[in-house]
Amino acid sequence: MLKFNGFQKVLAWIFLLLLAFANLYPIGIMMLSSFKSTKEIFLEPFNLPSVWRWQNYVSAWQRADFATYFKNSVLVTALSIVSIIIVSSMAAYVIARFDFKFKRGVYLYMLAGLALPTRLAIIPIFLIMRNLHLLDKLSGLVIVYTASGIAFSVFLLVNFFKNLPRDIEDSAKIDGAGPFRIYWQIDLPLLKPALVTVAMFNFIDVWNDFFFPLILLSSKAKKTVPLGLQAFFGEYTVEWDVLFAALNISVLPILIVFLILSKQFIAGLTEGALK
Amino acid sequence: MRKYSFLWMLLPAFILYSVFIAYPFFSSLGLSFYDWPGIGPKKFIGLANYKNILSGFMSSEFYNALWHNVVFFIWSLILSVVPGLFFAFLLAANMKGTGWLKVVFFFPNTLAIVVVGFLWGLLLNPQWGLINQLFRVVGLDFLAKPWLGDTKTALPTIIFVTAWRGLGFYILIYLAAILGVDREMIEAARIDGASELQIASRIILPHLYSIIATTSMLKFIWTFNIFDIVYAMEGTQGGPAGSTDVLGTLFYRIAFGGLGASQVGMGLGATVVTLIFLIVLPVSIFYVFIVEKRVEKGE
Amino acid sequence: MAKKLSIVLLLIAMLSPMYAQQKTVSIWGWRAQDVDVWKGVEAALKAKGEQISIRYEVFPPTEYDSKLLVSLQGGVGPDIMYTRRLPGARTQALLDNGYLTAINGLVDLSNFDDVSLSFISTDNKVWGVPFANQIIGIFYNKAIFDKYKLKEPQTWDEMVQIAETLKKNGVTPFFVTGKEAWILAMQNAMVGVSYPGDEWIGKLTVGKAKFTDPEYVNMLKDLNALKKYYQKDFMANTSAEQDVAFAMEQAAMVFYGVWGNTNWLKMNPDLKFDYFPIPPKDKNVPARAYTYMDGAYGLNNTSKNKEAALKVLNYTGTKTYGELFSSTTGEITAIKGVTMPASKPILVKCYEKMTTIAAKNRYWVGSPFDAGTPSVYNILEKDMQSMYLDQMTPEALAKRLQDGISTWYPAFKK
Repeated sequence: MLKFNGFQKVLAWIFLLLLAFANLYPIGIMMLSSFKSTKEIFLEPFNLPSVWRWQNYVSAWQRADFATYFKNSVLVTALSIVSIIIVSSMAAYVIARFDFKFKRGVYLYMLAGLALPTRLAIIPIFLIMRNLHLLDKLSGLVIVYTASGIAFSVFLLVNFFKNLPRDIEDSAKIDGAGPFRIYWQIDLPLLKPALVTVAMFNFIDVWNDFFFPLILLSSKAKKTVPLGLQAFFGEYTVEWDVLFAALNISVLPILIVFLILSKQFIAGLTEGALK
Repeated sequence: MRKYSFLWMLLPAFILYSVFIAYPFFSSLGLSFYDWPGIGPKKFIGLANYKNILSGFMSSEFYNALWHNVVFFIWSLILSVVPGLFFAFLLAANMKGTGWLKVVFFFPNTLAIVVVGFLWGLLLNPQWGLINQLFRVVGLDFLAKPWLGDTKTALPTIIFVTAWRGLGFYILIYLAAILGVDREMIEAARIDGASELQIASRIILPHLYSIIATTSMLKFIWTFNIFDIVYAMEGTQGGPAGSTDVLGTLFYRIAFGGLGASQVGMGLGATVVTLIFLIVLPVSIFYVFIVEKRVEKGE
Repeated sequence: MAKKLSIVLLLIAMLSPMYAQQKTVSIWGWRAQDVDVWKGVEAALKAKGEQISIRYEVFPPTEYDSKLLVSLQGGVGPDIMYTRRLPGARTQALLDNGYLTAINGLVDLSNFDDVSLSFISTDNKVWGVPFANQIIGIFYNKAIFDKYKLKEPQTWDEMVQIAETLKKNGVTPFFVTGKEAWILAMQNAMVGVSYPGDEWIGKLTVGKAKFTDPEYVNMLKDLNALKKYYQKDFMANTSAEQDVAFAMEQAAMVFYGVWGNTNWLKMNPDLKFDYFPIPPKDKNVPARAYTYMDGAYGLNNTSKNKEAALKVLNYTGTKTYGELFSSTTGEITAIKGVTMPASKPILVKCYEKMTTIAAKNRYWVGSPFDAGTPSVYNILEKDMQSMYLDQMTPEALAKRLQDGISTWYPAFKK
């Protein structure tokens, strides 16, 4: 690829580090501030906390009922991702491997979901959920997320399926394995890296989504983390110490998951998951 | 019939997608001809909703929000493509020790938009926010402004914050595309004496046009999803004085009411949706067409 | 096995009556400060032997009304809902859709005066139990006033003079929350009752005066001119920051409501502050305080839990409840004859003002101008921001009000 000489390298590093700083500074401030008192945040914004106040976290956790929000978010996210993966990979397998009438039409139809701002469909979604008595239910959210994750996931997975070698499949077919068995026992295990990419993308989307819970949920016991955070910001507007702590609490899980999977995820992304 | 026994595996995705994604768009079209507060009987009113929005009492709010979406799109396109390409090229040199930077650059993308909004809201507070304090410390007092409270700076600020969150994604996408360019071609150019800048601009860049085009189309479509960031930083009314109101917040107020809603109705809301859909549709069709072509051609 | 089974059965038998009696009443509101009030109510009901637990859920005030309406439509609403006032589009929407139960005869309302009840009644039907009366105006820092030997102003010009003195001495005269549109609307409304005045608004209500009259336009001009005494960059500030600034004595005056005192005292228990109504421009016009009933507890018509909910509502109509409410929240209960806690002098003062100088006419919440769309409230929210940002002249704002209200308000239509 590009080759830089010494001077160019220095210049490149300066720019890269500047961007890294711009990315990390606000997040670092958020982390530092969460250990300060409100007064310190206001009056000594650039200093380290005089005392590391872990109690900010305790009080944010207790007052905001984060335990409930986390439970709900984890449940919704996990169920959504599992259903997205199962449903989309089956569909992608069929589209990538079989020929049938209207195949191209079906694929284009699903692809169109990539090119629709899904949130605009909220009025009918809301009405459907109301008729199905799924308002203020986590299962309602899971259904919406699964449906809205399909287009993108099918699109990614069809590409991956097409790149899989067919010879193992062919020998399995000769042994009399049906389509589902081939999909389940041979193709899925080979697709693991792709599935991680799909899962990570959907994880970011679902875990962070604020819009659908805002409209579809109402009671506190059902709130997910972003929605709970919003309520918390409305209630404790002047207590910046706990607000920063709450922000950190909400960021932590995604940070951990991302750091664990970042290598695979970024590899998946840069090796052409999206084109 | 047995020949098609595999088709059932397609069904769950097909049905879920049809019921919860495809159908709602058609259903919105239907609803847009009715006057309906969300409950009780629907009243057919023909094109009255469209008239109210395009030329009637809702028109100034609608065009105001639509314009902000356009501004949002143009600026966030510039702010993603230009620095996105720039940093992707820097990373493409594969210098030692840049691996971790990819993780850092992408990280803001993993944060919830509301979290980003709240965080920057605190940072941009005029009196106590870190940003203005930083400006004052380094002597740039004139930059210590009420960024979110001025009709001239509020929307640019929100666009900037959105770009801050999204940049890493574009860097990685462009990086992938750069790495996909044929190496032999680059080597050949180098042997012919081309400088690195020439290689980047004359050899590699032309290969990136199609990815830039598709990401731009997606960006255009996604622009109409914008809601969270405005909600978190300026509220559902898109303040101050409507200067950050976008179609997402306008539509939310119309469909679901709340303080500052001048008119409430599911029918009227569905009309806004249908109008947005009409704007997006040509781009969507074009996008699907291009993507499908590329997949057909064998990646 | 049989033994185990019998133990389980015995346990179930012991527990089941408890479960059968334990009723959970869900309550939705926009007031975070009421969390402890409901804990107190639950304890009081338990003490009376009622097996009722209360689940109170708070929503952001600006989101509350839409969330409530949408949830009620979806059949997932609460048993008891906080309502705003009548006339008012937000409460009217609940009424029109049949979500509220008339509570006459179901709840003892003898502890309320007619004015409070009138804010939540139509044709002798009462739709909720009022919980608080609010008074809005200017709250000022006594220490700062004393330091510069300032007295409560009697006229608008005296107030401007005070602001001038403070500014000269490097003190921020007013802290104003330009980012929160609704508070700007409120500011306009509280100024209106003294300048152009109660009587003028009375004429406006019946169509004998117009927003475009010089009385109102002059008021807008003066209000717009006042902004040079607001803190720097006031258009980017919210009420949260106002609370900090006022409590930390960084500003001398705020345009706000009595409910603010709780937060201020929480942040600075030593803060000394007091209240005065907006002074009139013309000495002959009496200074008036804008007061209104803040809201009421309404009973969901579709609640499956009406019996228990009514027990809760009945308790909220008692004097004991009024005392609990005022001492917990530091606000003025809607129940009459409750003595304000002496530990909170601001409540005593505001309560006194409420009974002596309350304006009879208004154009913001609880007024006939809030009954349709666009309401005066709707228009002021956006346009006050525009005016302060110099994007709309006072004259243009007045015209926008007049034209907007004329589209639906009967007395303006002809």
